[in-house]
Parts: sequence; structure tokens; C-alpha cells
Amino acid sequence: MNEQTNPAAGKGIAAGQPNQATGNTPVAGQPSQATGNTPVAGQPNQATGNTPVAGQPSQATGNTPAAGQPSQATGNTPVAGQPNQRTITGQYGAYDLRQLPADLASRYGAHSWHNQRPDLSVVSINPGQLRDALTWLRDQAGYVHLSFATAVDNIEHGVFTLTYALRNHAVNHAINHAVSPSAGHTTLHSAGQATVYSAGQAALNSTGQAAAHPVATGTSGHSLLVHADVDRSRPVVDSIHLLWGQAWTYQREMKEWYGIDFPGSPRVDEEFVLEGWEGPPMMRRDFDSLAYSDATYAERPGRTSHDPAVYMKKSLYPEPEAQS
Amino acid sequence: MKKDQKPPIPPAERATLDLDSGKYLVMWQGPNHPGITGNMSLRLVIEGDTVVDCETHVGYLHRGFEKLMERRLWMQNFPLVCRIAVPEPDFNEYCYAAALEELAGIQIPDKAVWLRTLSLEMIRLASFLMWIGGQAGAFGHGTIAQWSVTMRDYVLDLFEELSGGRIYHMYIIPGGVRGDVPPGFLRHVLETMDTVQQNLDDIELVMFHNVVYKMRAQGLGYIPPEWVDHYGITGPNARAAGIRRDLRKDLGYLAYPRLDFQPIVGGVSDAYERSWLRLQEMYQSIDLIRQIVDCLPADGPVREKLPNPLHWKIPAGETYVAAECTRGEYGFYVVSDGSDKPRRVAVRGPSYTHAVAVMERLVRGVNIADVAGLMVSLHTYPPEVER
Repeated sequence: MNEQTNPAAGKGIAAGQPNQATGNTPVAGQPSQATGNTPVAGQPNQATGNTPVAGQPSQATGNTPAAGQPSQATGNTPVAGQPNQRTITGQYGAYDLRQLPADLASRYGAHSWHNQRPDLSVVSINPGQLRDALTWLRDQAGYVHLSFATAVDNIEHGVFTLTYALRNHAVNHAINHAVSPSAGHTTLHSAGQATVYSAGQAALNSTGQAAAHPVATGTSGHSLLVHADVDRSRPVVDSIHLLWGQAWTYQREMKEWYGIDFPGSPRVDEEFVLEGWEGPPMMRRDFDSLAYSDATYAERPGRTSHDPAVYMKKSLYPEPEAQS
Repeated sequence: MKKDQKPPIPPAERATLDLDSGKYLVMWQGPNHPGITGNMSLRLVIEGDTVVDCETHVGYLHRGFEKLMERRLWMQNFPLVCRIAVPEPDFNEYCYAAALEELAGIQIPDKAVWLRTLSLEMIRLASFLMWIGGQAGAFGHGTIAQWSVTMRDYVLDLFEELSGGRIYHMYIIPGGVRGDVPPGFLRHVLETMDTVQQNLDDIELVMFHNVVYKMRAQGLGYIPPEWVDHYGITGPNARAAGIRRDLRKDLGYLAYPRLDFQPIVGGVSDAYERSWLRLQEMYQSIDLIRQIVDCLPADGPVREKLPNPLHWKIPAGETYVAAECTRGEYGFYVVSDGSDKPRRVAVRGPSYTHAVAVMERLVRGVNIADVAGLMVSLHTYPPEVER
């Protein structure tokens, strides 16, 4: 395309330079215009332990705050086990994410905190306090994004394990970054040199004694899977449709697929995916889809199926004819 | 819409309507309708030619994937997962494979990391090319659809050369990718990228500077930035509202930390801005593909040796692996109980919120003729709602 003949060259983008949009809309690399919780460069980071763990080779990004990130680092001496502080500024002021496991435990009786990945943690909460805990996580701890909600049928324990996946976009891993190549190994998804972390020493662990920094420089965000075990014989859970605008869809799905009730949720009793379904909730483990299909639907003539092992055995090693 | 006019924001509450009053008309759009993306239907209540209420109905393409996966071996699920989002199966393959690798503790070779990134970017481009045809077609520009679907076919030719399949590739498998690039493939990639880029320049000229397209798309389906967190909006729909979130940057998975790109951010998330932003992301994908071709290691293994897939037991655990697909956050939540079959595989598709909750609210007050353009501008794929 000839730029000179372009009637709106000001909004155009030069061929071969897709990352350098010069127009007014949309602009590449423009800083976030979000009014939410996204940290903005220039925001003071009150990191107290912006230091690498003792015994590790000092990295360029380990004890020196990166340019453009004013950091009031007070701990200049490398101390083993010194936690790196991650303060996020939320709607109601600053919150230090290191306190999250302890806060959830003391406020809502959360237990079984577990770091699956440096940017993914799992915690269990009593279903009675689930809505309060999710509200607090959203409003105070910065977990503003509901990725999904689903359930797992743990039939052996007689419970449905509800899972709410929340995401905190504001955790900025570029602020506190220290790598420990000696104790670490490469992440599973990104084999780059920048993403070296040590297993088990994740950003947020249950004691708050975070050490090495597990995630790639420049990445951000932390995901939290919140579990709640609901009695399988009486599955009723508080609805969170007022917290997130799309939550009622997930609740409708769980009602239809598992039979978990969410009183007050909009249209929760309507059919969602399985229109005209008359069987039991189909995602329960004790629902046998094959047996249901055999019992419900008629056989269509002209269709036969063979067990592959039996069929191949018969065709390869035919039975010797009986001697008369 | 006038230039200084603010796009209207639909009300949060549904209106109470007396359908027997004779003032309203109830009309179904879909499930088989050119203005609907995929198999889905909208139950519209119309007053004059304005939509006053909408209910989405999904389920026409429900195939029970999540239930089926619980009955199959880990490896047998691969032909299933790629069919969850038909126009871009590779994101399913990547998320599922990465979740298995994380649970089983498998590290993939560096060349596989690059080839996965190449595969994901190529399918991103192909999916956007299909979308832009639908977006233009919804406003009466059928020619654009013919151009862009041709370009998509050229990209699918590349996939055929790489993996043997045009639509479902099953190229990304646990432990890496299925094979190395064939001889001459990278040259074909670069040639195709040149062709597609030329065509995108034409599309920009014809579509985005067309006065009819501008008048109909500007101000349509305005998403305020406050909705992004409230409704869980991700991807280009959120970035067009000025929220700088791109999981390729935020999660830093695969080779993305080693590529040079910045998330593209817009300002006012209406249908025009979203389509404009996606056009820029197509250019960005072309640039990323060129970078990947430059950086691709010449040799090295492309996959890690796996245990016997028929007796492969994944250690007990759970994880959630997400990736940035064309529509936003695409994720797989995988739970293993230590057996040879998954306990639970849950798919998080971005259309779950875009096509249902957001769509139902945005469509209130829209002219009936613009419903199709609005729906396409959200870039929804109903199959991932139903799974």
C-alpha cells in the first residue's frame, strides 16, 4: 500500500512495522489507561528485601532496582530467606500479598495453601465463608478477574469440590526479580534463560518466607484457585452473581451439569446446554454415559461395532474348524 | 454516531416487558443464521426495529467433551481437545499438553518451544483472517470475506505442509511437537506472510476507510473499561477498552519473552475500535512469525521421550494453564487423581463471558440490523461455551 495515497495515513500502520503504530487509535506500547489496579511505572515500591538470597551469585536485576522503578530498598545485605515484598495498590489502599495465606487463614479459615506454580496457588475455604472470602479477595487483595468457576466430583469423599479461578493482574514480577540458577530449573512452559526458578520456593508460600523469584522478568499477575468442598448429598452454595457479571453463567452450568444449586442466581433453573435433557446431572461421576445412551436411545440399524482386540484376533488367528 | 457523542451504555437490569401488549415482537436469530458466529441463537425482543431484550441460547453444538475426556486415556484426548474451538485448535492442544507436562514434570526441548510458538501465531493469524471476513460480511462487504478466506487458506496450506492437517493439526503433543519443519517450509512461511500482508493493506484501505463501515461500526457495542473486570473480559475486547493485558506478556509462556512485541491497546472499545485493533494484531502476528522464523534453532530435538502413552499415569495434582488466544484468555484446568485418565478437564473459553453475559447486555438498544455486526465484533465461538 502506498502511504501517500492512503486517505487516513495518520491512522495507518507502516508495512513491516506492526509494533510501532503511530496513530491515535490504537497505540502500541501505550501505558495502561486502566483506572483499576494495574501498577503504574513511577509508583513507589516499598520493597524491603529487594535482595537475592545469600549464597547465590548476584544478578543484575537482583539487588538493583530496575530503572524507572523507584524502590525504597532498605535491605541491602543479602539475607537468606528474606522475603521480597509485593505491595499492590488496590481500591482500598495498599495490600501486601505476602500476608495473603495468613490473612485468608485467620479471616476465613482457609487451609491447604499450595503453590502449584510461582504464578498459581491453590487454597481451600469452607463453603459457608466462600462468598465473603471471594468478596474480600476481589476488593482488598486485588483478585479482580474471575477466570472461570467449575466443580470436580470427588465422589470418594462425598463432596463436590468447587473451584473458582481468580487472577490478580497487579502483581508485577519485574519489581522484585532475583534468579537462582544454582537451585533452580527451567520452567516447564518457557525454556528461556530468563525464567529460571527454584521449585518449592514460590512467590507466595504458606509461611510468607518467599525467597527466589520464580517467574520471568516483565511478566505479571498471580492466579489463585479457591476450592470449596460441598456436601454431595445437599449441594447448595451461595451465589456470587453480584460479584462478577458473568458468574451466573458458570453457576447455571454447574446446576445443570452437577446439580449444585445456587439460590438467587439469575436463570439458574433454566436449561443451559442440555435442552430437553431428562437424565441425572451428566457430569457426576456416578452417571454412566454409555449405559444411559444404551438405555435411552434406540439402536440404528446397519451399525455394528467390534472390539478391536477381539476382531483382530479373530481375523489373524481364525478358530480351527471343529473335527467331526 | 457524532464525533463528540459518547456511546450509549446499555442498562444493567433487564426491563420487565409485557409481551402480550402487542408492542413487541419476539424473534429468534439463529441457530442457523449468517449473522451468528457458529451454532448459537439469540431470542430477541424487538420494539420497532430496536432490540429491547435478549436471551442467549447455547447447546446446539454440545458434544460432551469434558465428560468424554474422563473416560479416555490422557493421550486419547488429543483428538478431542482440538475440536473444542474449531477455527483455532492449536490453543487447545498447547494448553492441554502444557498442563500434562506440568503435572508429569516433563521439560520440552528448546526447538519445540519455538515451533509451538510458530504454530500458535500462525493459527492466530488464520483465525483473525476468518474473523475479519465475518466482520466485513456482517456489514455488507462480502468481497473482504472472499479475500480474507483465501488468505486463510494460504495459511492453512502451511499447516498442511507442517502437520498434514488443514483444520485439526494435532501438531503440539506432550513432550514437544510431532515433527520438525519440512525442507523449504520456512521459505514458504515468509512468502505467505508477504502475500497476507499485502492483502491486509488492501483490506485496511477498502474496509476501514469505508464510510458505511465507519458509520455503522463506530459507537456500536461500546464496552466501558469498568466492565472488563466485572465481566471477566479478556483479549482484544479488553485491550480495545484501554486495558493493557496480554497473557503473552503477562505469563511469558513459550518463546514470547524472547520476542519483540508490545500489546496493542485502544481507547474506546466499540465495534470499529475492536476490529481496528484486531487488524493491528494481524500485522503483529505477521511480525512475530517473521521473528520466530529468524530465531528458530536450526537443529535439535523437537520432542522429549514419553512413557508408553497407553499406560501413562499422570501423578495426582491439578493445574490451570492459560494462553492468549485470538479472543482472550484460553485455559485448561486439569485435575489428575493419579490414574491413567483425567479426573476433570475444564476448558475456560473467552466466549463464555463474551458471547453470553456481555452479549446479552450489549445488544439492548441496538438496531436489529446491527446485531450480527455486534456479535462478530466480540469474536465469539459458541463451541467453547458448550464444550
